[in-house]
Amino acid sequence: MSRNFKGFALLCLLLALTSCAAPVRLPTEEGPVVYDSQPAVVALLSDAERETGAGDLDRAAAALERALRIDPGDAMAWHQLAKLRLQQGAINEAISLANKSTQLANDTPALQRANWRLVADAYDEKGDTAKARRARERAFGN
Amino acid sequence: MARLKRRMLLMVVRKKSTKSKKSKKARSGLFRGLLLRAFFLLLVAAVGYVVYLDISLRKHFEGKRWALPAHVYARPFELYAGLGVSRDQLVAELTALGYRPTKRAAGPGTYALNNKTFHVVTRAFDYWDGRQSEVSLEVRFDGEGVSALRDRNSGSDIPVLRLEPRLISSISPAHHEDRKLVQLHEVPEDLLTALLVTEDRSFMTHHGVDPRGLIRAVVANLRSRALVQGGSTLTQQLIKNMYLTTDRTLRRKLVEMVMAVLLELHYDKHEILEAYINEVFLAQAGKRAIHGFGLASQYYFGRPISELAVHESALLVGMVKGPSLFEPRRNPERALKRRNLILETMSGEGHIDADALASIKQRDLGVTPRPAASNRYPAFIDLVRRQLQDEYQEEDLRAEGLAVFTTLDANVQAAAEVAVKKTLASFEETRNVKTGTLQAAVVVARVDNGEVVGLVGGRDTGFGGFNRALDASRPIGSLVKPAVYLTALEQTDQFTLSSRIEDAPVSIQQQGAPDWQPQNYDKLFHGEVDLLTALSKSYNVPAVKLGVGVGVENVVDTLHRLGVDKEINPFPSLLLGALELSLLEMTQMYQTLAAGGFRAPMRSILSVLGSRNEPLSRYALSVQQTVDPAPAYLIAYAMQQVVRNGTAKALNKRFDAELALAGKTGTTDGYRDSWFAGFSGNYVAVVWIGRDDNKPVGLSGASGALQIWANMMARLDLQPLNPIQPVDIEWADIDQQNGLLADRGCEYMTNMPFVQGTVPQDLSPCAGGLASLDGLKLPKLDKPIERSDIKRWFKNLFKRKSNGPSAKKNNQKPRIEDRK
Repeated sequence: MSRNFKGFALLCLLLALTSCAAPVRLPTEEGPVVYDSQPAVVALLSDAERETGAGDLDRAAAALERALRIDPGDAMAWHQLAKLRLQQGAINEAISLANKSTQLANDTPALQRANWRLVADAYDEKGDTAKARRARERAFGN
Repeated sequence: MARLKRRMLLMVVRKKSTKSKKSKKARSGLFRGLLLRAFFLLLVAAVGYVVYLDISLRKHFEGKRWALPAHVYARPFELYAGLGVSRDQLVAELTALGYRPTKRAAGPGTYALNNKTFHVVTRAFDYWDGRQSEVSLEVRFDGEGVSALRDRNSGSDIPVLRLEPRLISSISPAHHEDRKLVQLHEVPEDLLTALLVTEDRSFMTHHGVDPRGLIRAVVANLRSRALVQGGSTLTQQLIKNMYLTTDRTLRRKLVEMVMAVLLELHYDKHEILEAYINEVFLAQAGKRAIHGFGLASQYYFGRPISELAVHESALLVGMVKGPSLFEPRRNPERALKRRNLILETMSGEGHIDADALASIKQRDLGVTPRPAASNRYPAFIDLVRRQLQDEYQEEDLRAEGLAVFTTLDANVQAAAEVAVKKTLASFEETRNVKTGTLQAAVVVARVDNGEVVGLVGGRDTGFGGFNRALDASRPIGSLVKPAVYLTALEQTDQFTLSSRIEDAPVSIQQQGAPDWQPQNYDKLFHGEVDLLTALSKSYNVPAVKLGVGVGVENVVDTLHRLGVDKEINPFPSLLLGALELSLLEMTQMYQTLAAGGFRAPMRSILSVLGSRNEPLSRYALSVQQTVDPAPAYLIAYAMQQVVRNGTAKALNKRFDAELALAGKTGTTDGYRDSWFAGFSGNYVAVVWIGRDDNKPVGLSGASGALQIWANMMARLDLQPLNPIQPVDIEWADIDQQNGLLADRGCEYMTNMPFVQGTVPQDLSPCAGGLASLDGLKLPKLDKPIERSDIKRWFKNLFKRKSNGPSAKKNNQKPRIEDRK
């Protein structure tokens, strides 16, 4: 399945510059995280990004939930939802969602590190410095 | 007709003109004076009454005209490249939505299926997060499903779009008036024409009442010797329907005329016509009254009003005269005659080409064989209403015209209903049980987000009544056991799946209760077994020993973390499921297990829109990690073993081993409750069978509930259960006879997962190990033991031997298989 989608994503890339199915790039300090989502999910992730940009976090979350209904195994969609929840102040939930994304992102260590950074930020916000430190170690450790 | 529309646009709201007259001339004479005074008084009273009518009329017409029912929708069908549905499945979905096959897909709600191409024109629909507009689509398929979607107008690829959701229920006002408001621009011109030529020819010009029309109607009716036309104007009919009773008195008729004139003074024709179209009564379905052409179109044709052809419009207009007399499903011939009469009238007025008329008259009525039921899934709607109650008043649901978007998947629901009905009927037949005595309930949810996609509250699925999925609290029996074993496996320094436990008679002392000697289901004791076997075979004694050993209060804590909100007493009997829970609560518990410890509350609602499509509320996905990944992985593996070679192995015959399904059977004392809870990668479902009078049903979990579960799941598109292996899990070959490391020389070797660092260190004798089995002998438990004794005994027993240095540690490393 995922091979097919990788192929599809590649094909779409070759068809060039269509916004439909470029792999999602998550800009981070260590460079972009590339994750191969299926085209429908990519479209919804970019909807979510646009809504977040427009300040409508609820709509963004709705788009991400729609993406997860289509592919519950998409680690990037879970990561984006974690980010959104953190923005909305739902700290514990953000941590849970980031952990879920980490589990699913076995093939994408860069996304796992992005999740650990998010978890570290979340614990910082909770004032739990010990856990924040541990998460940060994992983010930069492996 | 175009002229008519133009006129309507030009129509200006007429301002109220007050008429007041005064009599000036007072003449002498007592009698005349009195007469005049009386007349004056009468006039004042009449004017007063008219003013009163006027005020109440405007108040009603300008306010909320109707109490609008809440409409409840199933989850929408998401169409995207990569979706694993066949052409036939897509056609079935479109058919369910009332899409029509045509030669060339032209208008919304049509599709065209040729050898090479599949064209669909979708309907627009307003969702919580915005409008999905109408799209003219080309759908391409490959061997695996939908391969591409293209917008035929722009030529561009469409990554994903939603079809409009199925309407599954109306929560109607107390008087059971159901309607779906439409705006005039949605109504086909043919329908308006048919309505005006039939009911009120001079509607566009009269002032509410039409004396000439009345005479014309009488003449026309006499000529055709039938009731072709009515005397009342549409405005009068509207007044009658909206404000007045149906009694035929002269006084009522007069009031009706006055109010009709008043209405025309205040409002333009456009508004009056739109109100009429939404008000008119068109059908009675049981208690439910179908009002308005918008809902009638759905009720008779299963399609939105904008998609009606001329003969369909004529049929609906024909029914205005006598909704029950011309009911097309019951009286098709009469309805056809009436329809054709209207078509002829339209043609006579030049609205239908004389040549076309003959062929239009030949057309079938086009009515669907059965209307979509207004409340097909009462048990699910019951859940929706309960979850809505937190935010909405009952009156709002019945009156505010809300659109409620739910998680229901009509296909899953259908599979669950069929499975319940057929399986119970076959049990009753083969087991000689009195028909109708067995009851069952089912909840199906999506694993990752807790969305309830199907819910059956009893075998009579069309009837609301007692909701066994929500309101029947029954002892859960062995369904509790995964929580017991999970509690143990979370103590990674104490327990692994290969930990040994003796299945032998035991007596538990309980405070304030007689000693308890738990029995196994098969009344046998199986000697020393590992946890994996004890769970997969659902042995009772090991579960009790283990639960007492880890602490019943810790098991209670686990149950809470898995999502059971109810207060639970930590009695040892809990360990065998002496705990009464509803099916929904059980589904929550198993959702958490199925999702690897990520609990997502059971949800049935996604969002709610107001009557003008304004977003009101959204029910967001919420996820909490309540079990660590490694123990969650171990317990899921153990539950897969239940299916592979434990109490649920009957499923092997029905399902591909690749699906790697997981589950747990449950049977309560005297076979009163038969349970099965299980999950694939995408669905978690719990099934219960029992009787309302709590008498035995004579079915175990495996022989009863499991069968419904299997019959239902076999109809669904299942994803394999492939739990993500956490980084701290490793695999080892274990000799199940003694729990030691095994190799190919061992007869009872099995490969099982361990939390890193907990793999047994010693080799089994069959693998060349030197370990003496004597050292592992367990104490005989023939005398009653205290709970604290059991705890101590357990602590000693399960102290891992890896603490001591082992010479073989490095060169005898267990074979680790990286399973994914």
